[in-house]
This record gives sequence, C-alpha cells and structure tokens, in this order.
Amino acid sequence: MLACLLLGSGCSTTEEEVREQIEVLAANEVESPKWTAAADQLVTVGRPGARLLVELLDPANYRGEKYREFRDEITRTRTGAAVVLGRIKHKAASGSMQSRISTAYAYPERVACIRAIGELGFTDAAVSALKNLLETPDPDPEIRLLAAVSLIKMGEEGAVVDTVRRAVLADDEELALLAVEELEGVNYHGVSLLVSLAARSEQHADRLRTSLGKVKAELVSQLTDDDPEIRRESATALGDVGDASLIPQLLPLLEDSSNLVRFNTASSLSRLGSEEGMSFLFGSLADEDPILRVNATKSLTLVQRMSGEVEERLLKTLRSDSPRLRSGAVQILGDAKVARAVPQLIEATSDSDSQVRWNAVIALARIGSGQARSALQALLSDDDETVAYYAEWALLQLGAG
Amino acid sequence: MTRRHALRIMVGVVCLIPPASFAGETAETVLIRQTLEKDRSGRRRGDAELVMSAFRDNEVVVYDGHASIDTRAWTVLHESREAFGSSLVRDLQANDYDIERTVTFINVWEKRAFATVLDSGMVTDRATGESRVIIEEVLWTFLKEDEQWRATALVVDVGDSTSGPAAGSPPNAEVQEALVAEAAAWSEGNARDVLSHVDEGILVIECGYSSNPAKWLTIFSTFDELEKWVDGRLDRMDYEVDRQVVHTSVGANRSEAIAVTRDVIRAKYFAGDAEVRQERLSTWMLTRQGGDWKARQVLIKSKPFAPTQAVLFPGDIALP
Repeated sequence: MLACLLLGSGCSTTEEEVREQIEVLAANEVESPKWTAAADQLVTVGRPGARLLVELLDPANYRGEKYREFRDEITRTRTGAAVVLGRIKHKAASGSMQSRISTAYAYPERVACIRAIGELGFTDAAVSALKNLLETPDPDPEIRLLAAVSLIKMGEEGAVVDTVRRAVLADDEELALLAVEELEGVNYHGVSLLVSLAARSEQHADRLRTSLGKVKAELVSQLTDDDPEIRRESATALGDVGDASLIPQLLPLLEDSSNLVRFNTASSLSRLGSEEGMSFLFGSLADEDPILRVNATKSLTLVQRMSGEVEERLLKTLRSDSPRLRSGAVQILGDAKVARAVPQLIEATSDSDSQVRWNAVIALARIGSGQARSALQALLSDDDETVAYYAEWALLQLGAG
Repeated sequence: MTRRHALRIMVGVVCLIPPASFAGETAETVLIRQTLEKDRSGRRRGDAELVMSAFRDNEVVVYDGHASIDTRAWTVLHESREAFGSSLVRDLQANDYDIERTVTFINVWEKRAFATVLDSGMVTDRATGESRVIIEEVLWTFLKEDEQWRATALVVDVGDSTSGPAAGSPPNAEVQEALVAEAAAWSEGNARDVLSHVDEGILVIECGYSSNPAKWLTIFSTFDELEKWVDGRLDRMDYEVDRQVVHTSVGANRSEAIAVTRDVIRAKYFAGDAEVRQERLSTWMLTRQGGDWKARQVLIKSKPFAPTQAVLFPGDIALP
C-alpha cells in the first residue's frame, strides 16, 4: 500500500491494465489469438495483477460491478486467470484452484486449474485434491490424465505414473497424443517416463522421440539457470536421457558453486560413460571432507544401480592404497548389491583397516551371500569391537542357512 | 452471595444463551432470525403491532405465490404497509395462529437479504372454533437500516417445483410498455435510459435457472452497484434484447405490479470476437412512481418451467 502511495498512480495504472486484459479474456474464445495475447500480457504484468486474477476464480465474486451474466464469459475469464496464475507461479492461488476442478465447473476451467496446480508445486492439499480426482474416479479420461501429469510435476510417483503410461499405450489415439504432449510440459519430472515410453511404444515412437528432443533442449537451457535446484534437477534428468552427446553440455557444471549440482552432474556424466564424471566421484571418495565422501558414495551407488557403469572401477578400487577409497568402494558394492563382488568383499574382511573390514561385513550381509558365513564367523573374535559386532549382526541377517 | 443475587445471575445467563444455533450462522443471520421471530411471535399472540415491527416503515409489498414457485403464477396481494397492516389486523382478530417456523435458507449480501421459511401449525377461527392445518412456504426479502433488518417484501404461499408450470396472465399494456422500453434501452446502448426504469432501492437476484432459493444469489443490492455495472457493460458490449412479456399482475391500486419476461439476448464484445446468445426468464417486481413503472426487485434467470399455454410461449425455445 505504502509503495503504491509513493509511486503515485503506478499501482492503479497496473490495475487498469490488468482489468483491460481481463475484459479481452472475457471477449474472446479460449485459446483464440486475442485471448492468448491477453493471457501473455497478464503474465508480463506478473504478480501485481495476481489479486484481481485470483478474484476471478471464486464464483461468489461475480456480483455487483463484477457480475457477468453469461456463463461462457466466466469460463473464459476463469480459465485465463488459472493459466496466468500457473505461469507466474502464484502459489497462493493453489487453494482457490483446487476448489474449481470438480465436475461443477466447465471443462476449460477444470483443465486450466488442474494444469496450474501442477505448475504451482507441491502442497499436501493440492496432492490430495488431485488424487481425489483420480480415485473418484472422474469419468473423463483426459481429466484423469491431466491430474496424473500435475501430480508427476509435484514429484509424485507410482500409480500416478501408471495412469500416464496407460494413456500413452492406450488405443485411444487422441488421449495418447495428449499424454505425450502433456509429458513434454512436465520438464525434468517426466523425463524418465518419457524415455521408458519412447523405448516401449512403437505406435507413438516418433512423437515420443520428438517430445524427448524438445525436453532435452529445455533441460540443456536450464543448466545455466540462476536457481541451483533447477540446474541440479536438469542435470540429473539429462542423465536419464542416456545420450552421450550431452556430455560436453554437462561438463561445465562439475565446477558449479553448489555441491549438489556438482555431484548430481557427476552422477549423470558417469551414467553417460564420461570419464570426467567418474573421476570426479572417485576423487571425492578419497576426500578429507566426510560430507563430500558421503555425497560421492551416494552418487556412485546410484550410478551403479542405474547403469552399472562404475562396477569395474569399483572392483579395481578395492586394491587401492587408500583405505578411504577401499572403504568407500566396499560400501557402494554392498549398497548396490553387486553379487559379482562377493569374493573380493570376503577378501576385504581381512583388510588391515578396520573400517574397510566392517564395511565389507555390512556389504556381505546386504548382498545376502551365504558363502561369506565362515569369513564372518572368524570375525566374531576380531580385535576391533565394531567389526566383531557387525559380524554377529551379519550372521543373524544371513540366518542359519 | 444472596439467593436473590444468584437467581438474577442465573436469569441473566439463561437470557444470554441463544435459542438455537445453526450451521453457517453469522451475526446478520441471527438478526434476521430475530426479525422473523417477531413476525411469528406477533401472529401467535394476535399482536399486529409486533408483527408489523418486523417490516419496513415505508415499503412493504406482499405477493401471493398461489402455491407455485413458477413466478407466472404470482400476483400482487398487498401494495403498501397500510394495506398489509389492515388486512393483518382483520386476520388476527378473526383467527388464532399456532404456528412453528422453520427458516430453510438465508442469503445475505451487504445490506440486503432474502430468506425462505416454512410455517406449519393450526389456524383456528375465533368465531366458530374450527381449525385447519397450515403449511406454507414464504419468501422474504429484507433491508438493513439503522442496524436492524426489516422485511420489505413477502411472497406468501410459494410452492415448490412439484406444483408444475403456471399459465400466467395476459400482459398489462402499461407494464408491458415499460419493460419493452427497458429492453430497447439495452439494445440502444443507452445506460441512462436503462437505469431510468430502475427504482433507487433495487435488489437483483440471480436464480441460476433453479427453483431452489438456496441456489439463488444476490447480485445487485444497491442502485450504485447496478449503475456501475450497466455503465461498464454498455461501454464494452453491444446488446440486442428481444423481450416478450409473458405474465403481469397489477395491484388493485395500480401502484405495484409483478411481471415475467422471456428475453432472448444477443451480445457482442467491443474487445473481441466472442458472441453470446442467452434465453432467460426474469421476474420483475415493479412500483409506480410519477406514472412510470420502475423495477424494485428482479429475479433473473428464473427456472424455465415448460409452457402450458401456447399463446404465452409461441414457438418456445428450450432454455439453457
């Protein structure tokens, strides 16, 4: 308010501009060129226009001077408001939109609100409102699909992903194409699904590959985003794409100011077979900083689980002079359950370094190898109490077998 | 503490406890219930003065719904507070009312409100001692003045949609002329002319094509609100209103009237290409001022009951 007073007529000018564009929304069919231009203009105005747009969502506000006697007009303004509020990420509008996704509202309004809720991001109430649509279940498959896509945007997995997968693989051509189109807009959250569908669906393979190409380009452009979270998510998702030609674009992020960005980028590079990525992670595994070592362990475990790209190097590392490297490699082989490493892990139970020994014990228990039983028995009387303790625990895990 | 003191406190506490609480109750609905209770209590006691204290001093109109929510059945029953008061005094002298009142719905917007009540009980003829059962739905409208809600109009004996469509009465020429002129003002884009057909105390309710008042919404509670809206709409849109008056009822003193119109509205926007076409029934409660009929209360988008007489709905088109 004070800002408005200081700026003189600045606020009212913005308000007039917003009101004018709202009238253009009201006067033009949804998605017509003029309607779209008005929505774009409102996005440019951004948050200063949000209050007037949020008002358009609530039916109780269509009275007095703001009354609109034609229902189609309300559909056009409400749909526009939802689209703009989603695009400017006005999180405070999420609650109002959750109340407009039921069958009581017109289809374009529902669609716009469902999409916008996904754009506005995770809240418990938003997830629950969208899951309600899936569980009810809404008879309209498109509405179900859009709700599922919005949930994916909020990081939901499982049954939600299956809803989208079924839509793409379904006989309903129109629904399948809508699903692919929507996945294109999910950004990094939908990449792994898009990749797996591109590998499975013969019917829409070309369309899926085209979409994947667009998402890939978008992710690459996001690698230089100001927000480290967006850089991190984008770098991770590019690893999912599985395209080694992306390595040059990812390499600069190994120098990123954010730890998480660096490690996630190194994981993606490793999954794509990049020597630089692997060197970064193995180098960090021997670092003095325990936080960096934990990050390296987690990242290498993930790479091994997802691609198996670092298995040979992990096995070689067991013969390293550095106890930190040997200990880290043992831990990763156990966490990633690499059964092939059991003989070397048994050998590691007699390592001179006690930390390597107890990590080897834990790894063998995780893999569940019965052939390690006699080695573990021997460790019950190890000089190091921790090693002896974990040996007893590991034997319990393996059972009498 | 003496026993007398304790008794006073107990009485005080009992008086502070509200008689009943209802979901969605607000300070305003509590006050409206109190007004409704004055009316009921006055009728039970045969106290016309108490009943009349629930009504506005200079504006009371009573319409008869003839057991139908189809407004084509509605007629003007009493045109003024005096006429209503006189009739009430006679009624209470002749009859003893033992009624219960259920408030089924209250809608409040700014300083205007409407409510529906269901009255049930016995009415006994004081002269003969004969009793009859009464079950009656009544639609009330209110205005808040000086922190008090007072009734401005009643539609007694409002039925429900089970009573079916009503026939309507042939249009009164004067009323028809006024309403057609109002429609023409819209088509001409003349806001001053549109508003010249509206009373200062206008109340407009949108019924959403429903006969259930719980789905109705007050959209204009003052002349100012309506004026701003009309100005804004005619600045931005080009209207074409084709109006047919399908029912009128004029009071005996010719000072109040009720009418129903069927409008076909086509509108274009100056800012875009969308076009609108809407058909709707509107119910007009009109008052005569200086020879002109002016709208005092309008129910727009009334439920479109099926027509019963072709002469009133020639070539009727299904409403949305």
